[in-house]
Amino acid sequence: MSDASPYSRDDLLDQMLDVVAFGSAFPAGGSPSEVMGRFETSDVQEFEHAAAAVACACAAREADSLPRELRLRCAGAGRAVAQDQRRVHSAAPRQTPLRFTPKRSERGAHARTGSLGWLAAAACLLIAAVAAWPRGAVEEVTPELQMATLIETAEDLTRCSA
Amino acid sequence: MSTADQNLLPLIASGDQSAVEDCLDRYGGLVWSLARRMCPTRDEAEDAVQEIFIEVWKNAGRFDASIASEVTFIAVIARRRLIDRRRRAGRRPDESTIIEETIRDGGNGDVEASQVVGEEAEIAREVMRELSEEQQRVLQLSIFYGQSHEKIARSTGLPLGTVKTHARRGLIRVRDLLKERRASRLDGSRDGSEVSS
Repeated sequence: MSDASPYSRDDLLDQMLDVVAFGSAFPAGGSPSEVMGRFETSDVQEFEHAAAAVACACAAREADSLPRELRLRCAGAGRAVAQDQRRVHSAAPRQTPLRFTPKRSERGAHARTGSLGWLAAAACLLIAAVAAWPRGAVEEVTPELQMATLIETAEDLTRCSA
Repeated sequence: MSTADQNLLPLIASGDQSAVEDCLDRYGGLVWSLARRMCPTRDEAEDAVQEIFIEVWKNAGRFDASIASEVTFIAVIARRRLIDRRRRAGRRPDESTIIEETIRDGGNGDVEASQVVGEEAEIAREVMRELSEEQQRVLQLSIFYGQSHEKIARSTGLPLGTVKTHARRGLIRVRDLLKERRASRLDGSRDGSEVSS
């Protein structure tokens, strides 16, 4: 605490306790920020906790229970907040392996290219089938056959030259 | 379903809706007791309780068990809200009703337990037992019933300076003891971790 204050240490402590523990208003002319600024946050927090503990100790003697309707209202608000929290948690990025889910438009593009692929595959199969299909029986080329072919061709040639 | 000593606020912060009901079962009575004494009317007390619990739900994720117990965290929120409301309204509860209630409820400063609400409250109770009956009454009227020091002086016949001294000394004693306990608990856990490592 600084010594520049016109208040003594006890005065300042009294004023701080009035605010955080006893809930009184500041004395006329007193500045809340000036007083609170002279204490560490942890000091203020400790006195708040002490006051809360005293309040709990006093309340413990009484077995009050929340009125039913009030309890329902509080529970409704609480469930709504919890639901929001759950939504936030589920929307947060997960640590599980990532999976790519294409967008709708991308899914359409994939579908189109996918069908082209099928078409290409089908065409390849068709070509292979046609290529492998057995043609008519291949005539065996014998010397006699070659000779006969040549004679026929020669006749044609003589006819042309003539 | 949560167990009796399990903290509920982290569950609420993670979206567990059933923990909301458990939290109301566990702390609803306490908050209602505080509001009833620090608000001038029942309607205002009901509004205050609703506001307090909304703030509790929203701040559930900020609860840190190493700083204070769950019941103290909730009582701090409740008291802040009640004090704020009272400052805004610029008035305190009707003192005559409070004094009657204090006497009827046995509020003669003798703080005997019928229900345990957290370690800090137990410490506060221990400290209050060490105080004189007069000092206990001042602390109780000031913190639990939210009465001004001037009103307490008038209703008890004690000089204002004495009332202020009783309230301040009592609270400082509770604060010191809470601090000591927290420090020894931290030392204990540190020793435990050293042994285990």
